[in-house]
Amino acid sequence: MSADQSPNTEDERREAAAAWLVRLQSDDASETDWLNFEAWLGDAENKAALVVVENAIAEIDDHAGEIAAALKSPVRSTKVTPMRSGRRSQGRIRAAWGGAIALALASAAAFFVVPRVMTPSVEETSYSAPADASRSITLPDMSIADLNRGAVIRVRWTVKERRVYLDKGEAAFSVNHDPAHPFLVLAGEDTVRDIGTEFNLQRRADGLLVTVRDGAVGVKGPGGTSVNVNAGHALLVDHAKHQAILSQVNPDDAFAWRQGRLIYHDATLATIVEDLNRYGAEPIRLADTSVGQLRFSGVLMIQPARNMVSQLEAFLPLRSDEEKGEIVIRSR
Amino acid sequence: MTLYLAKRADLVRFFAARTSSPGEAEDIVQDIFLKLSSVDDTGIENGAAYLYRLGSNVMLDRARARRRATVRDDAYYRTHRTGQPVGEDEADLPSPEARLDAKQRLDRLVRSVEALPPQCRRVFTMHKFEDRSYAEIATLLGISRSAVEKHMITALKRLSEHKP
Repeated sequence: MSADQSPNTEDERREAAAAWLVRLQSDDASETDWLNFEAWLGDAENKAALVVVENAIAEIDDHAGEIAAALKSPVRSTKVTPMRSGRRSQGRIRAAWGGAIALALASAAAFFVVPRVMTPSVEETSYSAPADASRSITLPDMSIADLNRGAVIRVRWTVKERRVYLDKGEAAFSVNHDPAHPFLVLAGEDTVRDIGTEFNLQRRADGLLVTVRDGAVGVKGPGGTSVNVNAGHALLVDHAKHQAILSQVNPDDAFAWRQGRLIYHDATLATIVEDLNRYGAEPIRLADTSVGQLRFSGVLMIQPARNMVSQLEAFLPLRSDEEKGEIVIRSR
Repeated sequence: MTLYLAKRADLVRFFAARTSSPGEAEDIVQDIFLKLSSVDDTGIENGAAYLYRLGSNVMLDRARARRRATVRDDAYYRTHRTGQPVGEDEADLPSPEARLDAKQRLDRLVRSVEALPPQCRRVFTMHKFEDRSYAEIATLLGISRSAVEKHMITALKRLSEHKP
């Protein structure tokens, strides 16, 4: 659930508005979905489109009885042949089972469709994402690597293992499990070994941030000790301090860049600026370390550096100046 | 409850953006708190999203209550201005002009619903007028839940067109 492209016409905005209203009713909607919706609402024209759709719904809801009565040849659900027979009172239970069965069928289908081909090859292919857009790459085993802006990977399949080198930047991996051919990501000094899963890797100034959404990975630093990271956890490997910190996180946040958003919960400005500097062409500098200790929770939309700093200025007591080709942030 | 406290500021910010009113946002978030204290939330997964959904329902209920109040007030003032005798019952009745306008709007809505593509109209009708959940509709029509959602999105988009 996301608004990947920003809609332009009023028509498209209303459609996006309707999509948010419908999908956010679902139990599946996550906190990230709500935060993405909030970011979408930040655009005045989107907001206006939402109000139009809401007013229409309000009018229909207020007159539901009259409209239903006035409809010509009302379409009644009793005319519809149910998928399976059953009493109506069981509707919800059947629906739940229907979903489970559909899911089971889908995974069965996936099981047959996904090719388990492992072409022996030592060829190396390099992929990179441009500075202003992310890029999704389907690997030969149907695993997926989503590259964030400016990221560079090399892919090398051998007879024994699947190797990906994350040379620069950030990437999210969704890996098809294959115990016979381990999936390894080598990020500088660190190696992340996948145990059938979905995870995000971000190379940072002094280390690596590993966030696991599904399954588990093993992370091995230069020291040789391996740490297991399970779903819902993040491991920050800090080479400067020779330490690795494991914490519980909402993993969706780490993947939000794929929808053009950065999501923070109580993050320091220093961390955020490091992130922003990976996105913008114009470098951002903190005037002193104390301003870097300011904390922020919320959603930033990935935009040119200037705009992202303005987004922060709206929430934090800071001001920014352009000096010799860089943006300098000071306390206000 | 701990989650509520942790998310309180986020919720206020969200509903302030949603309703364009910081005061309304505070009231909604306060209502979430009241609802939470009367509900056993131990079994609720995805807690933060639940708080947002709860708040959205509160927001819709409050908006509905306000619309009803406005309709009553309008009717009241109109009957006063036309100088007709005002009784308790009559105060709740809209003027003839207001009734005509409402009739036209209703006709237009009915026509828009009838103009929806058949399956889309079926999904919309089942949800809005028969109070069926998306999951129920999916099972009854033998389509996927996401197809139900797509039909609903199309319906809402179409029905919000050509507002006078």
